[in-house]
Amino acid sequence: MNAPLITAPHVEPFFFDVAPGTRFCLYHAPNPQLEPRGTILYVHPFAEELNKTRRMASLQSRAFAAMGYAVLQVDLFGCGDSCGDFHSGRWDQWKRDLAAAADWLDARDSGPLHLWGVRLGGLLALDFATTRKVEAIVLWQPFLNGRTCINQFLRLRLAAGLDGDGPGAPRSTAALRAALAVHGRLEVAGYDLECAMVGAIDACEAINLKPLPCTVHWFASGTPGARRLAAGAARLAERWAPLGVELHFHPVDGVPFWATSDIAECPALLAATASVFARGAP
Amino acid sequence: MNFSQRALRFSCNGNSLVGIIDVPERPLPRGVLVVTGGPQYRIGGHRQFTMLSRQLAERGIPVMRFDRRGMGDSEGEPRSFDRIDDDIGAAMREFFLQVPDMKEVVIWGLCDAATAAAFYVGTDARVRGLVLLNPWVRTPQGAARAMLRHYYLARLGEGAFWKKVASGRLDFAASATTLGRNMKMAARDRGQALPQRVVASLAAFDGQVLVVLSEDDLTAREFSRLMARHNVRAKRIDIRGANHTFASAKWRSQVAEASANWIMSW
Repeated sequence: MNAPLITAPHVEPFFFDVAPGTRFCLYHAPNPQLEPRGTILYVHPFAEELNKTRRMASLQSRAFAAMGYAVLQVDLFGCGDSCGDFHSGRWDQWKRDLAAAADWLDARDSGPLHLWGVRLGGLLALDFATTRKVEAIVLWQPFLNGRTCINQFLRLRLAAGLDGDGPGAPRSTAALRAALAVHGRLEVAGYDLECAMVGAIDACEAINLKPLPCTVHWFASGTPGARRLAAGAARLAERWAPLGVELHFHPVDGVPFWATSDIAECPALLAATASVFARGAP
Repeated sequence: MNFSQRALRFSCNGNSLVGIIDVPERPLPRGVLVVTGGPQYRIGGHRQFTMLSRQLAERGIPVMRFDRRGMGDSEGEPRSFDRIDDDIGAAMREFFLQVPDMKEVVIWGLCDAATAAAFYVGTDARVRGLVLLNPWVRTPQGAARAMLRHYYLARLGEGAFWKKVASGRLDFAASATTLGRNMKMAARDRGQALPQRVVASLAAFDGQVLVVLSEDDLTAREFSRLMARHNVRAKRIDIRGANHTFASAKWRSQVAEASANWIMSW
């Protein structure tokens, strides 16, 4: 007797017209053998972390789809396969891209909208959720402070030693920020940063955001600094509770796949994320 | 010239692969297939391959990029660069389906993708040219040994390096992991078959070859020595000051310009 074929639908890659230009998208249709559970919009990280996390994003997208969710991955303006130069990317444009992507998902599939943001994409998702009602937000190793993200990124230029050891060479992120303000642009690790882009990222802090009522699941590598992270999560949970935002912190063991030199997978994070969704509504 | 972009999904031994093709309004009969290697998926480090494709397509060259199995958006399990002939073959099939008037293809690859391309050409007569950037000709063991010698051990006595570590300016966890892995691989060194395989593949190839080497890159230096030792027949271009992945707009535009000019020169 032949076993029934399990027909997991394949991913659909496509270009989506959103002014200005086009965005590259991947749509993962929900498992047709299950009751549809809603939609999930993926928000990718910044610069090279987008590349490094692509495999994990792909694995988790397929896992969500297999559970009955419709998943959309969109490359934001100036990123990945979407149009535009990297330096033309803007925080506000990225939020407009997410709005267009969320509308597309709403029109195509039924059920509540969820956001899933990785690294700086986590902060962008939280900011987006201050104006768009969502059911839940999944954060993977998020930056909760845009300035921290930019500082870490600027350190790549200091570490590369491109500026030499001369007396005028920038030796701190503050000096690089000053150079950026003077020249308007600064190349870091192959990416052209732009003053207005950095200004908007710097200005965004989770503690000052007021997301609309939803549940937030924050997954973070438990080491190092698990206690400090948990304390930060507790502060944020307290701040958001009156708004109807319920925050859960999930420490996870695993490699820092967003920063490893080779592509790494973190099965513990996939499992932890799946278990939150397997329990029912996240 | 205007060009259109198409997102593709095609199959390789039962796995779905994702690719992008940039098709000029009036495509030239010679296309470029970008093969990716190392930790990169089809957009390339700092989007090098996305931007390269657009620059070549503006000059009339159809370009396809894709993720091999287990990378980026493609299904399947990750595999090493010397086992991706089927993936490249599947992409070639799709490329000719998408651009029916295309007659031949140049494969463009950086690092171990360049090596994979050199291995592939012997199996497919439609490939008439190779653009090889900083080709990887070191066995993992040999490379690990070179890395230890040139990088980590040299830096053990270096004050600035340790200051960098202390100030948090170096991703120490990642470096320590790499160091450990390199030591293990160096211990397993059993020979140097890879350079000979690459030389033999290139000697057997009757098409055109362009080699692009970065000035500031150990991998490129190793290949340069190999070229001299074995009289590898290829046009060579050196990019001054460039690092292994061409992490600056200036170097990337030199690479794109040199690639386009060379591809249109024969």
